[in-house]
Amino acid sequence: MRCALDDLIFSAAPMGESSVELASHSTVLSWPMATGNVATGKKHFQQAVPLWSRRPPMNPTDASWPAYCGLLKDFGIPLQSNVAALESLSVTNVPVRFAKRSIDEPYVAMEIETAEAVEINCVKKTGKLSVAHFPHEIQDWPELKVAIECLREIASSHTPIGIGIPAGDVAADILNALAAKADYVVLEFPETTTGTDLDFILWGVSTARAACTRIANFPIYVDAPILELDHFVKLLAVGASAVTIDALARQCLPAPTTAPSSIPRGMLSGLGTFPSAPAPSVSPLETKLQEIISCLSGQLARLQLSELRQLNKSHLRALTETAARLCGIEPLAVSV
Amino acid sequence: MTDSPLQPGVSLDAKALGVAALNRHLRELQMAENEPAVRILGLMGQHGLATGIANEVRIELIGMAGSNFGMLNAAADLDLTGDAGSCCGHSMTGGGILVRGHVGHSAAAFAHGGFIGVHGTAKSACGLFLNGADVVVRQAVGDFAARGMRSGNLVLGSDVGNGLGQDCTGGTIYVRGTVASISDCLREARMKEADSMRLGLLLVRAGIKGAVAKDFRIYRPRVKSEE
Repeated sequence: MRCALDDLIFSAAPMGESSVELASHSTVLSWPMATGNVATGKKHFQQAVPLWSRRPPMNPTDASWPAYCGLLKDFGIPLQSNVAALESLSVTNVPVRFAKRSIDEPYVAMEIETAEAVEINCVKKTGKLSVAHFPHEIQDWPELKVAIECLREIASSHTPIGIGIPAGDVAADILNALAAKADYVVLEFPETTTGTDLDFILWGVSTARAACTRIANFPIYVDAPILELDHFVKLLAVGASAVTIDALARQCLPAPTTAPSSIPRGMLSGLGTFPSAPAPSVSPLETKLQEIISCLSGQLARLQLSELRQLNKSHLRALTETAARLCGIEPLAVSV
Repeated sequence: MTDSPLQPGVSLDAKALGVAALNRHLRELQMAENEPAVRILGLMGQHGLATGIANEVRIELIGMAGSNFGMLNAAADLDLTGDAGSCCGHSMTGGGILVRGHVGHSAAAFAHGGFIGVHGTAKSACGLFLNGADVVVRQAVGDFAARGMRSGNLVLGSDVGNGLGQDCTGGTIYVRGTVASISDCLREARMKEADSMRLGLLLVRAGIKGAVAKDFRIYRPRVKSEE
């Protein structure tokens, strides 16, 4: 199904300049130092590529889990997970870990202290509906600000503390998050992939970025079911700082294996170990990730931009009125 | 020896040190069982005091603590002569907190170990999602006490507001005064010998004298078949 993201195209390259080859692209999580901070400011978390994984397509008990985590590590893609899920992995497979605290969960010291970034999730799920909701012990934004200060002090001064909010008309929430000195925001979209939902994602990201006028590169992590390579790039141009690869991984990788209980038991079980199935390959996902990165690099080179942070929606043109309205950009002029 | 200004028996001014530095020193502090407690003076409502302490240390604090006092406490014994703000003892897993004053809302929220005693009143949502800790409040508590409680003991030594035990699924609630309204998911239970003994021990630990177990009623969540 065609969606508004398909009706966006990148503007033409500037004329008369040679194309620029890009060595690296990075989004940087930077934030103002907290009161009493003792860090030098050189320890800011560096996001290697503008991708992340928040709802992995398999369980930590699945055979493909180590390979998936290893792939994330190789690409420098952060994974939102708890410590227990990574404990069984070899050191070479452990990716950068983000922590999340839901509204009805306690803080856990080890989860906070060992994470590269900590999200205070402010989403209440009732059935399929997600609504904004403070954690149960917090009543308003000033209290959330205090909680962020305390958490930052426990986590260590250089760990970014973010706020997770359901996508929608988030302008006021973004402004409040900025006032509460959050270091990043997670926009949580529903896990569906129809064309209308993709329009909603486009509008949601654009609205969130438009609200960040006070801090130009305020990190917006998008948790949305994006599958198409150019949709990733366009969302980054519209305002996302990083986009989840979970839906793409779900599409590329085989369905999670069943639990070990399916292994036959009985008299023969004592004769030897049951031959376990080989771990599913993650190379289809690896190929896709490389394609996203090369697509992004190529687009930046065509636009003659040296950094990903320079990419914004001014580099996009809309082919339809709908796409133009959804993300507030200029429609392509049509010659009569 | 460390270069920390905090040593057993030393008194320090929190105002001069700042919360981040003070907490860092408190987390590094180590003391033997017979050594005198560290005293922290000059509390003026600073948020996030004495958070995340994992060593078995004894700390006396004098003044008014702000929000999240003793958050993520794992082993320290904190004795506060004064009031504390909201979320006192949030997510604590061990140790003890004694507040010889009043506490704000959501005291002992998500606490899954240790002990919290309050000599004064507690505002709303006291024992929110309590999951294993023991909590004693001597004076009145606000609405929605023990909301979402999963396990542990909550002792309420005086009157209780509306919605006691809303969405409660486990644990034991002891109440001495009147209750404005009780959630449907709670039922009054018979005080057994073991309950009475546990209650007595908790009252002693909180330093509350004059209250006897027979003055209390006991509430537990209904089992599925009762609902």
